[in-house]
Amino acid sequence: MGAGERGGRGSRGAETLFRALLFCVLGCGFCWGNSVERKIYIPLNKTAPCVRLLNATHQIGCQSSMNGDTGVIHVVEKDQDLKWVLTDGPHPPYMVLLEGELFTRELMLQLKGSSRISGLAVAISKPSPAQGFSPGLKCPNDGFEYPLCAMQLFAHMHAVTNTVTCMRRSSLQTAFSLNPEEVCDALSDYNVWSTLKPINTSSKIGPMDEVIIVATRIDSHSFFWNVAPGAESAVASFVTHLAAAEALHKVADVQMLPRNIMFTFFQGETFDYIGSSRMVYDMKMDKFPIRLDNIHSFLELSQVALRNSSVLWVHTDPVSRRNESIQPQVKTLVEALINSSMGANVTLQEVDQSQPLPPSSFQRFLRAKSIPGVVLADHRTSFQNRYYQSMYDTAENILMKYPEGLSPEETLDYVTDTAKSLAEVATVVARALYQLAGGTGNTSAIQADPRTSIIKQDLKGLLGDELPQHYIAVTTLVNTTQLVQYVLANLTGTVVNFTKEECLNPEKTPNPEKEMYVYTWAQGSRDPNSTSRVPFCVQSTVHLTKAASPAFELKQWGSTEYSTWTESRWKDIRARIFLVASKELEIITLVVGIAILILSLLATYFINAKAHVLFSSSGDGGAVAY
Amino acid sequence: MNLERVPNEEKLNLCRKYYLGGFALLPFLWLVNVLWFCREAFLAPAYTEQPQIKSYVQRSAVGLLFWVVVLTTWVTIFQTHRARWGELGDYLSFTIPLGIP
Repeated sequence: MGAGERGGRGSRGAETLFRALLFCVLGCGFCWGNSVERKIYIPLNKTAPCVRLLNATHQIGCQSSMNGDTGVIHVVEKDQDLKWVLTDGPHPPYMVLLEGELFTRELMLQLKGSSRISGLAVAISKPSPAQGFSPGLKCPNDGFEYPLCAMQLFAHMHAVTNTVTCMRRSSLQTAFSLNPEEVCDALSDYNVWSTLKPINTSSKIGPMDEVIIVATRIDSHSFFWNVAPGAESAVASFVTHLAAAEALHKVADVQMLPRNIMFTFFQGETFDYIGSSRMVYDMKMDKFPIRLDNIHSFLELSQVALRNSSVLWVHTDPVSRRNESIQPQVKTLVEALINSSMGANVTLQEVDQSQPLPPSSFQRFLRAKSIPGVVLADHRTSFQNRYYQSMYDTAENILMKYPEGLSPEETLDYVTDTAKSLAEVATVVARALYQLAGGTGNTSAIQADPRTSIIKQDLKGLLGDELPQHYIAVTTLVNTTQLVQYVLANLTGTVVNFTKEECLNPEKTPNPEKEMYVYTWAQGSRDPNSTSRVPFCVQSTVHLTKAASPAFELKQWGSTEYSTWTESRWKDIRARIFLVASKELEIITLVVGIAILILSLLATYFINAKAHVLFSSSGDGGAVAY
Repeated sequence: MNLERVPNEEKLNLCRKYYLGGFALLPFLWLVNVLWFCREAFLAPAYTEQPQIKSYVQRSAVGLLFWVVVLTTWVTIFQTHRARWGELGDYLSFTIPLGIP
């Protein structure tokens, strides 16, 4: 009995140990379950997809199949390589890997409609002088022998046809479905605006009060999603604008000026003027503190970084100038600008008066009311910017060069030529605005600080490895808007002695001026000696106002009056590369596998049938106890 | 249900009920009627209720054919033309495929 019990306990112990071991092995196996996938696929990390955007009538962008598109990679470095892909190559479909310079419309039209191409990948060509260009993949080029390198792209877009269709489908889903599946989102964000003299935003300003609006855009776009460096098209302009705002705030008697100045930064201008059309709509519907009648004049800074021999061109609108009351006001505006440019390294020249305006936010205001205004640009007729709204519109495009061997802190202090040039433009703008607002003092003291420009431009480099991109996405408050908001508050606001609670909840303090100001709690700069920061409260007049197209407010998705741009939704965007085997190898593997299966079934059957012959032991015929 | 154990009046009753029920826009009842009573109506040795059962089965078959033709035509038209119908197509659909017109 005792021996049996001991034996029983021992076997139970062994069983438990065995079970524990099995559990461990299975558990570890589960954790390592994906290692086979990692052995096959290499995911590509630093990629930018091309997504689908839709407007009232059409769709633009790219689409892939639901489960991705696969093709054998073929590098196209010159036009002759295309022949291999389109006609000669023996292993279609191909995934074309294109060098950046060849990514042109003519080439794309050649590839269009070919069933031998399953996708396209573009390698951005950095202007690299001596080393030449290389796609930089370790994957071998398409040779004549297997195994070949293949790439699979996943970018399945949910929206299709146009904004009207996708918004209708989204609203049907939201209304009737238990699990709504929205397919697209409107592009929207916020405009940033600030006034020189504080105004009460909860009510409207008086009908006799006049405001001069200064405007720039802060966004850009390119073929690829969220790649929009926009250095010349947007960044240089709003940096100049910020510098001019700072210069004006430093003048002593600005609070006594007869007219107010509103510094406005429009978001979404790339997509049919989302920000400016919304502001005009709000002004017409009386939802904005300032009305269209209060606008005295309008000054817009278009692209200003690439001035040819320091000339800045002044564009005006010929249609509104035909009005007798507008024409002299425009002349006054231009004269103020020309007067302010004396002494600065900026030559202002007017373009031909019959030439219409370049693409600008001012046109949205003119559609509502004739306002005297000018648009300043570095081009007379065609753009100086050769990379307008493309991924190559970077700092190199505006000739921002630092000397070799500077540390990041030194680059922060270094004043580039571009910064100096933008500062001069900002000086001219600030002086002209002072004159227009009725200022009578000496304007030569107003100077924009080029270091202000640098700090902005280098902040960009400091904000992580990549440059910040200026695409108006569908999530609200992109980095650019926040950046402009906080920098403007920093430059034009004053530090006040509030505690954190008072700063974050200004309505609790009995301060009669709190309606006019916005309070921001700033983290403060890091003391070089200590590791803690000294936070403070900034009082400024910087406000955010929604920049979403009125077409979506009015539910007129097919509107021709307002912007109707939307961005499609998607589940999964990724790319991966892997090796593919030849068809013959695949078939051989399959046949061998099936043969082994059949063989093993037969073997099992025969062994089972002849078991009493194969496994007979001598004399043991009794029943086995379990 | 095993029809061998059912008395003949019962069979006639069942057949009639299924036949009449199919008129309430329920073609599957007619389908069941045809498949279930097919052997009874045409292959079993004759008995008194058989001619009536036979007529019910035949009429159910006619109704079934009508429904098959109508539904097949509608499904074909819908699947091929839904994309072209735009707004009407979306309102008629329960699930709309993603990413294709």
